[in-house]
Amino acid sequence: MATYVEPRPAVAVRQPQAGLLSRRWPLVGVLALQAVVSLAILRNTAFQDEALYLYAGRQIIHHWNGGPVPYDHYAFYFSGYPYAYPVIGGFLDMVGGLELARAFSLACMLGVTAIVYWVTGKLFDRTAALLASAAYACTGVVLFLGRLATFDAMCLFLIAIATALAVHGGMSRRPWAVAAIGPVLVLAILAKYAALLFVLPVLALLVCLGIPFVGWWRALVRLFLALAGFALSLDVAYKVIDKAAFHAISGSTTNRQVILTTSRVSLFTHVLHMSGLIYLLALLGALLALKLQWRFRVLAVVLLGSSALAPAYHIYVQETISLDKHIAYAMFFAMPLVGYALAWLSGYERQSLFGLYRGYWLAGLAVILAIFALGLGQARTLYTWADTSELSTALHTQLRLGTGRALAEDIEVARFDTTDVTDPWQWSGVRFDYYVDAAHHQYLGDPAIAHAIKDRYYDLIELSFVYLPAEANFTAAQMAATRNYDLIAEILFTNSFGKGHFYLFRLALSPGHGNFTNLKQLTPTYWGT
Amino acid sequence: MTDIPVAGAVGEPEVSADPVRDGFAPNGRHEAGHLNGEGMLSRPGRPSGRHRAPSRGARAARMLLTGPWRYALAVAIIWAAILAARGALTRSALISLGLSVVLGWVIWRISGSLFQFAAGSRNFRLLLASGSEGAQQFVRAILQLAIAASLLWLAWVRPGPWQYRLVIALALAFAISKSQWAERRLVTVANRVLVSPARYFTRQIGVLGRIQRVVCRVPAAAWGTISLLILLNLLIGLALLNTARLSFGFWAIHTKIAFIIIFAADVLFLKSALSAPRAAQPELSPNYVVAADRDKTDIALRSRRGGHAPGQLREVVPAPDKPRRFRRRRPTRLRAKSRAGVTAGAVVLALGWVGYTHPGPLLVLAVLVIGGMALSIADVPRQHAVTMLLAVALGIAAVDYLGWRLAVTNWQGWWIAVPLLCAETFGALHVLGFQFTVWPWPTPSIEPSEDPTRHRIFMLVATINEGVAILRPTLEGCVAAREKYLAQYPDGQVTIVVCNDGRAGKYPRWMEVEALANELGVRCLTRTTGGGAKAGNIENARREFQITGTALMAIFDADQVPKSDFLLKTVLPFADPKVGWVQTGQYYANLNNPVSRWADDQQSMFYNLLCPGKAALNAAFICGTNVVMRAAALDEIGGLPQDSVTEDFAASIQLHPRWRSIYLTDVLATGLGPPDVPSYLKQQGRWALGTLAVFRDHWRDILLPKKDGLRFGQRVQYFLAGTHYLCGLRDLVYVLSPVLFIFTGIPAVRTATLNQYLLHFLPYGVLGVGGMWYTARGMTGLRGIIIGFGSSPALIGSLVACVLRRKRPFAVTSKETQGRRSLGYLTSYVVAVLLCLAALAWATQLKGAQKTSLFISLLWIVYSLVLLSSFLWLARADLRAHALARQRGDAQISAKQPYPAKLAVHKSSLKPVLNVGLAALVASPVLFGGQLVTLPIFAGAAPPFTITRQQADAHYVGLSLPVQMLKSEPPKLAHDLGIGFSVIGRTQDIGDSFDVAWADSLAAQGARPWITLQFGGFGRHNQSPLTANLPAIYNGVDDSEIRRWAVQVRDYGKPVYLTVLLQADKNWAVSSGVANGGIPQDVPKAWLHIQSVFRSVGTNNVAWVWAPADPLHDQRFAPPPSTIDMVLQDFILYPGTKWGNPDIVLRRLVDRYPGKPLFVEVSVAGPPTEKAAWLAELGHALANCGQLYALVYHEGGPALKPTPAQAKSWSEASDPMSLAAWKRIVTTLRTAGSDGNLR
Repeated sequence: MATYVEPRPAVAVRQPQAGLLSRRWPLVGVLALQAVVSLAILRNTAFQDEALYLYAGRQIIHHWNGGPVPYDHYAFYFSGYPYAYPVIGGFLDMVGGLELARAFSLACMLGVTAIVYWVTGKLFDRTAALLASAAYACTGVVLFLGRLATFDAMCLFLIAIATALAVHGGMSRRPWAVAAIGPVLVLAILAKYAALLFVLPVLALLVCLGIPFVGWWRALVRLFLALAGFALSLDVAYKVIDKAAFHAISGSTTNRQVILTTSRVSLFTHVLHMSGLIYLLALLGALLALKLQWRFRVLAVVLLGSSALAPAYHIYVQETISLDKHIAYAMFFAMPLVGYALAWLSGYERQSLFGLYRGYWLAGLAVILAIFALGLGQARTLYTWADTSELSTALHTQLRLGTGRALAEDIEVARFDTTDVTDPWQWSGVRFDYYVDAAHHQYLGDPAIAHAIKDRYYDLIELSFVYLPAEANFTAAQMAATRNYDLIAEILFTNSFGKGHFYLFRLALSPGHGNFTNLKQLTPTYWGT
Repeated sequence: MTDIPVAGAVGEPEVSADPVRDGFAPNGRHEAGHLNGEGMLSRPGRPSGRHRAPSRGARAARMLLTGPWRYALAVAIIWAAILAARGALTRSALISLGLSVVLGWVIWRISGSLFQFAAGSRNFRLLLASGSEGAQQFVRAILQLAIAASLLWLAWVRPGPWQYRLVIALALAFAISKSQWAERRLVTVANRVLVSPARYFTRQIGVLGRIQRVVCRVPAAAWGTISLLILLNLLIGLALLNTARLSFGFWAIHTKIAFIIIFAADVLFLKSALSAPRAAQPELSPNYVVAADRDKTDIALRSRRGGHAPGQLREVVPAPDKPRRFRRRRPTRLRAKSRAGVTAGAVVLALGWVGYTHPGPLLVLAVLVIGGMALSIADVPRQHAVTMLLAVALGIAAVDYLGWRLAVTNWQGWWIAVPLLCAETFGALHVLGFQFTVWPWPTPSIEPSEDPTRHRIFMLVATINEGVAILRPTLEGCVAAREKYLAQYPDGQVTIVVCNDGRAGKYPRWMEVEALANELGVRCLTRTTGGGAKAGNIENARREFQITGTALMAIFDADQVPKSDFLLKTVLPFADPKVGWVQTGQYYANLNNPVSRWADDQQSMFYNLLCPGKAALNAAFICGTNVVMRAAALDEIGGLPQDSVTEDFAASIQLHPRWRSIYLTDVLATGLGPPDVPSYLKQQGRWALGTLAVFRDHWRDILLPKKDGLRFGQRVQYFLAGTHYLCGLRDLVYVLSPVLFIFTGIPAVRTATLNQYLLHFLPYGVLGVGGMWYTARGMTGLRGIIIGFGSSPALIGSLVACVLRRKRPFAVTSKETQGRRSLGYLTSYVVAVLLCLAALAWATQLKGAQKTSLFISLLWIVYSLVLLSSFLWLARADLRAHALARQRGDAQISAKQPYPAKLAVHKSSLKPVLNVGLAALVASPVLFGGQLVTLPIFAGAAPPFTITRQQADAHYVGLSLPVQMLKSEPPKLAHDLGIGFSVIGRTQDIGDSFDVAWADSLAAQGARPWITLQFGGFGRHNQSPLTANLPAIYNGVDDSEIRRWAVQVRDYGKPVYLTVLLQADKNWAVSSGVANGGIPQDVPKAWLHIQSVFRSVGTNNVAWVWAPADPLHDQRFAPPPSTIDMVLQDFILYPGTKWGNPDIVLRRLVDRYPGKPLFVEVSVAGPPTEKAAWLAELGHALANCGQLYALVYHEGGPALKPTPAQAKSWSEASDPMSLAAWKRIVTTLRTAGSDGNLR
């Protein structure tokens, strides 16, 4: 029978400190850096996904307040439960705009960094904790997620909380905290269904820590408690949620149909590019733990394996979409090992002032700075979607609240940016257009667009030929053929692929006298019109 | 302010130029006078009985006509005359002028006292750092000066509703003049209002208790400074309101820049104010540690050090009761090497990546944060941690900047770009080298194994032509040092030798030296044949006295007076047989001389900062004097090299691979600095030539790998020292490059924006300056940098001599003041200044130049000018000091004077974080000042413009014109008509600004402006911009512009007629309700939206003129009548068209808008007879129109840019008939006006 062993830090004996704040100053500094850098370098208008989720949240809240039922059935296709994050994001957007919604994501990511610090400190020591949290805060995908108002930051934060509970429960005398792991994990899954992937690693952490610290049977008790809580929460969730969500879970996560297929080699290279240095350090940390930390041998393997799960899944299914965001999930599990490796590199394990004055600590700092320099560039690259502020201004010069209809290729962003001057019913997208003409004939898709343009149904049409180029070309061709529209604005934008234009067309004063008569009037972009 | 002495009236001599002699003691206290309220020096004195005290009025009158008042009055009168000539002598202008004069006088007086104080304080910097009462007074005086300047600014710019600010400012100014009283009141009120209630709450709330403890730690004397600082920040915040109100917003760049600057200034002021009085310097401070067991030796190997020195750990042995987490433990050699290798590899890779990607200031921020955190968990002393952190951050910033700089170098203009790039790289290398040197390396340790007191000791004093007056104190010092040493070690053997080269050097009074030696009982060795300069002289003594083997040899220059404990402290380290020499600092005692004072600052940098760092790396080289050497070391290299003027430096390179060097920071000898600028330049030139020559001859030893050669740290140090004097060339490039760019237009960089430059340069520059300031604070300052910059010509001369291998004789630095001398040495500085000024003047004429390069160049030119001017100021002070000395006849000086150790040890009473927080709090008005604009007290509201019945019946007559005719036509037409116009109209774009000057000039003539505001003009294909669309207006797209206009009109404060959405009922309008996507319903929405924006900022001084093209049929477009103040009816009649009946139109208009005042605008072109006839018809119609408010003739016709012919044909004075007809209308309206007086 195993005996209970009082947990203690693996490397250094913690010295008594003056107060909580002074003990936490390093963490405060790292969090401040993460926040400042995120806010300083990542500024842009709403991304398509952000616009979609926040707009959905607003519609849901509006509906709860007695408004109409949202036009879209969000639960059917969202990759997270629409009544979880979108409602929070939508509320924040209503209160303080997009920046407040993003601030929530930033707060979540700061929370994740803080948990990295706490978990690493619990497993190793304060130095490793600091270096791990600093390295995590400096990575590009973490900076990126902190400025993206989507499901991911909240989901990752919940996973991090569950992980922290598992670490605490595995090393602590009292087992009750592990009962909260299940509900938190279910919340994380609701926040984004991809969190299903990390249920097993969290439970594995609980067991791996429990066995060396509290013994076999106590570890099993904890596992049972966590599983019971998880099952109970799942049951409650099943009874409460909209069943259409299962379609979304299947379509977006468990049985996903790949949207952008990429070769496995390319994906592997991309993962290395985004997080190769982190994985290298994690591998070094794992090797060091295997050699020097007998208690954490299994744990090191579990952490390393968990960190590889998300990239491995993406490489396996050859899916590019969301890979970058999921790398942040993966790196969370690698960070304790990274912190340990960095502390070793910096010579802190020798506890020598001589080494400190000789500048050995610069090795760790240099590695983190390299991560930071890489991360800055990566975060900027990830954040370069088209700035729609000029498009928004142009739309504001044409739209009237409660009057007129608009057709848009970039409907998510366009309607989100013009929430103040339009109602939801005024918007139609080029992908799933639906039109009933005066004779009550119903049309769907391309015929709907063709007839609506012919009948001068839309007062305003927006196209960019980027998001849905085929539909955009069809729409433009219809406008040119009918000569019912004037081309009134051509707004240049730049994104990570190059340059392009948003085009705005306004209903001409007289039928057949519009100035847009030929597709050649559109400026060729780098990728063609 | 009441103690102003009146020269001649008090029977006292004039105030002399020497404030010290006048009782203005360096410590800020007065011996004979006292500081009055403004910090001014005043002298005690009463009118003698022979003179009657002048009356109060007479004194005031006399005061008004003397000194600065006279100039101020003259300036005021001239300025008033200019204003009067321009017709702008309004009451407010006079008030501003008066206030400016008063405040200017205050500034004058305070500045004067500050300059006196600064000039009179020999150790002014140390005084400031000391936190004494004098320093507090000085700081307060500076603050008062700044406050007065702010008030001056406020009074002069008269921004917006300036009355509020002026009232506040004057109240505060009153508080300043009574600052002592204000201080007392402040403390009393604070006690009553804050402290007493706080006591109760602090018991309840823990945070308040914490705050109370912090507040209690603020020194009582600091409250006055803090209150002044708060006042200054408030005033600056007020001043910035004017710019902030133009909707620049919270994050506007100017707000941020102002905040950063003010915040930094606040930190400095608070640091000074909150500094506790200077702490006593520690008695003992180790320069090295003893590695072996101390108990085995009776030698106390500790020497006193006057403060901290980087590179040396203060706490060598941790206190036993304080557990230390990190222990001093040396890793094994192999582990240390591998660790160093890993570190170096990681650092090089990271730096390479940074240099390649040059990510900018965020990376530097990351270094500061993460590095700070990494150090904080290691319990490193704060000072060491900050030094290391600044060094690392600076390294990153330098690599980032150089990487960027390389990427944007203009290789096409290589001849200007490459030298500048090299100069910048060289500068960066030395900046980094500085940080490498001052890095807190582990304290050097020695391993004692022998008793050095048994060795023979020789004190060699080299002299050639200095004379006995200078030599005597030196020898007396040597004797005293010998006596003290022998008193402690009676078995010791100390021989003092004067190495007299006077005879060989043909010094006429060389025999006096021998006599002096005899008198003092020391040995004198006089050479008969010279050679080898000082090294030859020393070697001669070594030969004569057999100074070889275990003997120790202390070397002194003739002016270097050793302290009595010199030998006691310098001999002991020789207990370690590996120690080859012990070097001590070279300090100048003749600090009453300006050149010496500045040069001493430069010396302090080397001896107090760099030498300890070099010693920690075992790279402290021999400096030629104040050094004790082991003769055995010299024996190894065959004695001191005699082929170099810096034999000491050359010897060190040869000795360092095998011998250890120790450096002591204690002031163990003091000497004489160069007494004048030429001597200083000669000294620097000699040192530069010697050092560069040694580097030229020994570069292989320094740079190339060699077995048993110099170690890495030593190589770095010798490289830095050997190339240091190339900084003259670097400075020359810095001065010339921007000048060359301005004259040739060829930039050194290309494709760089100003923003990029600032982003990459500022972190580098700020950290470079900050790092140097932090490590050198209290030791050196700007004076050292300026005098170093000034030595550039001498250094360049030496470089040329070195490259050309020209021989220069060894010239001893003169220690005496020279007589009248040539000013030729100043030529190069004057030429450089003139060149810079010419470049500045030339730059004002440049058009279309690259603005970024131009701006950067101008900055550098200004920087060069400041340095050059400062050096010239030093030269002037030098000349004045020597002239005074000649008058007094006290040219002879001695080094036997007290020297203040420049190792300030002072601590703040608050923690730095709290200090910074407090500074941010104090500076917050600057940051948030922009937000105050929305507060009613600052935003205010213009007086409403309501049209009374009387006004409505006044029948105003006016003109509306295109902008190009705005100034020329009205006076001409007014003359033709014989009346003054009451309304002048113009059309402006929303992107323009409200023309306040024009409106003011109208107001001065009794007229009112009528603005027609258009939301853009027609562009390509006659298309109006999207932002002019009516939905754009009411959807808020143009709100910022509308708000800006509203604020400007409100600040104008006088009535304005405003027309928006001109002819929105027609498709030709820019903002149309029937075209460009507009619909009729849009028009009233846009109209109401514009009015709501105006109302929101309190713009009530506007009369809204509704101006459709067809007011009789505007029902679908018209806004609610209650929102219309008057209606415009246009009569624009083209030649060849049918002209309507004005009477019918006006009658229908009255029916359409009953009770609304009518604005009638007329413009007609056609045959004179027809035109005159129609105008007559119009006159009848107007006479019958009861709602007519104003009649305006539109000059220039309907074209946007009329040709002269068009303008002529459409003018009211196009022909005599038309003019007469128009005149008749005006006359008729005059008689019909209710007040009988046409306006």
